[in-house]
Amino acid sequence: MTRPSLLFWKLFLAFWLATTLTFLVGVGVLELGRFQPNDPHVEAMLAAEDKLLQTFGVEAGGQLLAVWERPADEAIGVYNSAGQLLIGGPVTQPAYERAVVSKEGLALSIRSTHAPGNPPGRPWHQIPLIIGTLMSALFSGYMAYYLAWPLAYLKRAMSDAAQGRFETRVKPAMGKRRDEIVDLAEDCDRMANQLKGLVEAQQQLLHDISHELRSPLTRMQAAIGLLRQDAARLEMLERIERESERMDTLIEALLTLARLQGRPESIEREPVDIVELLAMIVEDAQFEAGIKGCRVHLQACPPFIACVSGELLYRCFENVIRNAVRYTRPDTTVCVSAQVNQDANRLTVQITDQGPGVDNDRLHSIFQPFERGVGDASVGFGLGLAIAARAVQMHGGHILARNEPGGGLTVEITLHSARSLHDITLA
Amino acid sequence: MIRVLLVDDDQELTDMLSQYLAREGFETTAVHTGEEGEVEALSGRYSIVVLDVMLPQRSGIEVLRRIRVVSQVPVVLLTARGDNIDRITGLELGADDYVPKPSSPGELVARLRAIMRRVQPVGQPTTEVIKTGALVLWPGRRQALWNGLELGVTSTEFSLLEELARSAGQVVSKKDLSLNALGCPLTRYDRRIDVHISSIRQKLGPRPDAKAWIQSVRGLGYLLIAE
Repeated sequence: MTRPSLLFWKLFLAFWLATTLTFLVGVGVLELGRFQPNDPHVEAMLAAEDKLLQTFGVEAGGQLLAVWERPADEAIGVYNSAGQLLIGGPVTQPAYERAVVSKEGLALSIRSTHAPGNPPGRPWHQIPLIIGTLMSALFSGYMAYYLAWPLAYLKRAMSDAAQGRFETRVKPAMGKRRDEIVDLAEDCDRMANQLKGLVEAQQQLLHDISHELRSPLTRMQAAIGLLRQDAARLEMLERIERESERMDTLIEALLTLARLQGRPESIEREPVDIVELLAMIVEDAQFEAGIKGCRVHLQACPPFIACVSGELLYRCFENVIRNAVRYTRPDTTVCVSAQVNQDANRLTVQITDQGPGVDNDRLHSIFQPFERGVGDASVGFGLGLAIAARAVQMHGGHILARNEPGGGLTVEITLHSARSLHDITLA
Repeated sequence: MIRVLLVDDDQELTDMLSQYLAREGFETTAVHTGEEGEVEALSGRYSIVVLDVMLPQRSGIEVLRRIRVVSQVPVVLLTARGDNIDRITGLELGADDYVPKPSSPGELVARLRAIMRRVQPVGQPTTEVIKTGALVLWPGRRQALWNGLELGVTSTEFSLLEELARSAGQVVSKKDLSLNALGCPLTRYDRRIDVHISSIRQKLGPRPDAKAWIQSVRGLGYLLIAE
């Protein structure tokens, strides 16, 4: 912590004022209670005694003190110059003393156990006040510091994060402290971690996109070069056309992916029978599978109507099923099964191929953009499963991949028949 | 016939480039992984290697590093356009030149020809010797001796050193260096010469007075200190 923050001073002043005022009020009440009733009383007695001694002598003074109905703890005594008590009660510890010459011409001294009024210039009454104020200042300072210093670290971490430096961590600076401020520090660290991951993923994505766009462009350049060398090589035009189509497909897939980055509320929904949708896709996929000598088998269930974006879910299932057809071995069957749970509010679709499967540590990452099977640079861009996963998440569903014990990969998609948009955003 | 080794994982691209290069008078062999590329490049069968930086598994930069440990065969890198880090790293590791992807195959051929001109100077007397201080150069044999010891320089570094040694003690402009040693005109923000020079400096080591043997003259060019 470099310099006490504004918050520190605010907390410090608040604590200090509060404790000092409480202390002062307490002291004030006590002091008033002790002095107020006695002061005028003692003062009047002393003045009368003084007058009597001067005007009428010791005897008269003695009579006044004898008839004075004094409180138990108070006493006024008149002493002679030798220190002997002449009249009144004995005063061992005089709080007040006054010299007087009596009518008889004796040098006397009136002593009282209590002072008349608040005598000026007695600093020992202020010392407790000063100590109290200082103690409360110390305490307030400590409290204010205790609350304010973690915020300085939090502030620095936040401004670092705002400037794109996500490495600053607050938690280690908190030591062994355990309270809500430390929880906040932990949350702050977690947020910085998340942001770091997001930014890195974004950069990786941009890098991958530029790489993917560059490959068809380079091939186009090469084809154009060949065409320049020999204008008769018209097959190069087909090549250029093919590359430009590839780029178009890639850009469309990227735009779909970008659309799926938005909020779930941003997509248009309509009631769609997902089982019917599946049947359509399976029928389309049969043709492609037939070329490889494969089949796509649909195990359907009763209609399942949900309020979804038909277009996005079509792409989602199409991508997963075509992927399965691509990787399944020749002369095998890709199985698509749809099941509804008992309450008829959850649909589980399983797409199982009979291909090589994927390594267990890649079961999650295959849903990341540009993640492709090994040795698979020529087919697709690795965006299909990423789009499928995003589309499912957009609809509040779940997607997961697992290897089958007998070989092959199963992708399982779970969707809910959410009644309203509210349910979807909660899911 | 100039034998070119193409190392790129994009098979369609290497097919087309091979056809293009064939018509330009190059004999091309293509391999698609870094491992194969390294083995082939070190086989001694090729006059020049065209190496893609973005190779799966073993990257082009790593392949170049391994090649340079044992061989000074000329290497042209194919780098992503705008990726300056790969470029500088590549040149520092001893690549002779780079061609950004995507660019026309014509550009690649121009770069290959420029490097080959340097490596195989036409009609140059093989007996010519350039001597300056402790440096002895035989341009015909592309051999350089420094304090009597073999100086391991790439062909591009040799050409730059040769240009500087011919005018030892005088400033040679970057424009002339680019044209005569690299075989192409200097472009804006072109860092190739600076990177190559810094690599030569490291190989020459410091002078007794701790300065570099090759001095940069700001705004003018470079100068090899003559003893």
